[in-house]
Amino acid sequence: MQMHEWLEQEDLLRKKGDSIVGGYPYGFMDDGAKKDIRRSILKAVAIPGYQVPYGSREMPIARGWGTGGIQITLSLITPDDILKVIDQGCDGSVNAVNIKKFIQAVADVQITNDTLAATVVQTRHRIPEEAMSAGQILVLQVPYPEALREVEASEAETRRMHAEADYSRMWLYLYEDIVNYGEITISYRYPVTVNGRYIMDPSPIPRWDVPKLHMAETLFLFGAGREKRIYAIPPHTTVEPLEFEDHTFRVEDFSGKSCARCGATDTFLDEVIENAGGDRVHYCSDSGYCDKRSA
Amino acid sequence: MRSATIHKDHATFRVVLQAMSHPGTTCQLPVLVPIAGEHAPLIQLLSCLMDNEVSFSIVGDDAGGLANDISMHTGSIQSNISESNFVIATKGTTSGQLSLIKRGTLEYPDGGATIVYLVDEIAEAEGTAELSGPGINGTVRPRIAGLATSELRELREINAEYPLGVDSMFLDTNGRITCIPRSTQIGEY
Repeated sequence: MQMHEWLEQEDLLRKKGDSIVGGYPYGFMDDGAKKDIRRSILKAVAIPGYQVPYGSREMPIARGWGTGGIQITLSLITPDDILKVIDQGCDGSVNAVNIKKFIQAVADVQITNDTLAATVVQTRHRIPEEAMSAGQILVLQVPYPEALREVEASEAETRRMHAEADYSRMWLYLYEDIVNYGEITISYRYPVTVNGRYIMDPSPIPRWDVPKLHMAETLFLFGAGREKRIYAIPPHTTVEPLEFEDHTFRVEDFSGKSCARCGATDTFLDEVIENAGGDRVHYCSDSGYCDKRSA
Repeated sequence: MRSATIHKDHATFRVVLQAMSHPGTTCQLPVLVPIAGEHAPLIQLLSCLMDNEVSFSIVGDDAGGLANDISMHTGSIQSNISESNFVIATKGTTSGQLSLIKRGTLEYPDGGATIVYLVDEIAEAEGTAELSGPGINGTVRPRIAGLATSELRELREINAEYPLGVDSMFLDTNGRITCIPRSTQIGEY
C-alpha cells in the first residue's frame, strides 16, 4: 500500500467514526492485550501487593517512560472519564503532557489539572496532596516493582521469598542501615507491607506519600511496563511501612519552610536554587494543588 | 459519533473493577449494546476479560448452548474444570467441585481461577455471611439470592490458605454484580 492510500484510508475511518486515530482500536491496544491486562488487574486487586506478571506491549514511547501506567490506563479508560496525568507532581512536565495528549488522542477523554475533578489519575513518583475519593483510580508508573531487589538480584529467589513470606533479609538490610547511619536512609521507594502479607515497592514516591496508601478510599494500580508487572492496593487495605519499635517510620521534615508561590506549609516541597547567588526557595511539588491555592 | 460497541468492554470492565475492589458491594453492568439471549449479562461480562488465551468450564446445565455462545463471543476454549481459568456456575453452585478448581501456586497465586456464579438477585444488605478485608470499610453483608447455602462456607475453606485461592463474581439476572476475591474473610453464618 502506498503512503497516500494509507492516509486516505485513515481519513475515511476517522470520518466514519469507527476509530479515533484511524486504524487503531479505541484505547490504542488490541483487544487481546487489553483483556490480558484486565485479567492481571483483577488478580492484582484480589491479592493486594502481589506482583502479577503480564505481557507488556510496545507503546509509542520507550519502556521506562510510563508504559506500564499507560497500558493500565488504556485498558480501563472510557470516553466519560476525566484524566489527570502528573510527573513528580507536575501537570505541565514534558512526559505528563505527552502522555495526556496520547491518551486523549486514542481514548477521547477530557483532561484536567484538578485532582478532585479527575476520575482517573496517572502519576509518576507522587500521590496528589488532595485526598482522593472512592470512585477515583490512581495509576502509578513503576520503574522497579520488586522491593526485594535491593537485597536479592535473582527473580526466582525473590519470588520464592514472597511465596514463603521470607523477608528476613529485608529486615536485616534495614537493621544494617541503622547500624551504619543511625536511621533508615531510604528516601523514596520505601518498602511497605500490604494487607499483612506481601512486602511491596510503592514506586518512587517520597516517604511523605506513603501514609496516603494506608486505608485509603481510592484504588491504587501499579504498572511496570519494562519489568512486566502489575500490582494493586484496593481501598481500605492496611499498608504499613517497614519500621522498628525504636526506629519508627517518619516522613520528610519541612518545618520552617513554605511554598514561595502559595505559602503552603502542609505540602511536599521541592527545593529550587533560584539564582546565580545560590538562594534556595521551596515550591509545592503538586502543581495542580498549588495552582488551586494561588488562584 | 462513534458507536458504543467500540468501548463497551471498557465500560463493563470499569464496573467489574469497581466491584472487585469493593467486595460485597453491588454494581450494575452498563447496558450499552443489547446482546440477545438469556445469558446476555454473562456474555457482556466475559467479553471484556476472556479470549483464546484462557479456558473455561461450566458447572450446572449448559442451557441453550451456553458453552458455544461463550466460545463464539470470546474465542475462549472449553476445558476440564481443574484446568480452567474461568468457571461458570450456572445454578449458583459448584456442586461440590470447588476443590477441583485451580488455586494457583505460592510462587504464582494469580494462577487461581475466577468463578462466575449466576444467581437470582443480589442486594447489598441482610445477607447471611459477614464479609471483611481489603476493599471493605468495616464489614458488609450482601444478600445473594439463588446461591447454594453451603457455597460461601466452601469458598471460605478453599480460600483458607491465602494467597492461594479462587476469586468469585456473582452475577444476577438484572446484570448486577458483586465480588468476593480470595482476600475477603467470610464470617460464620
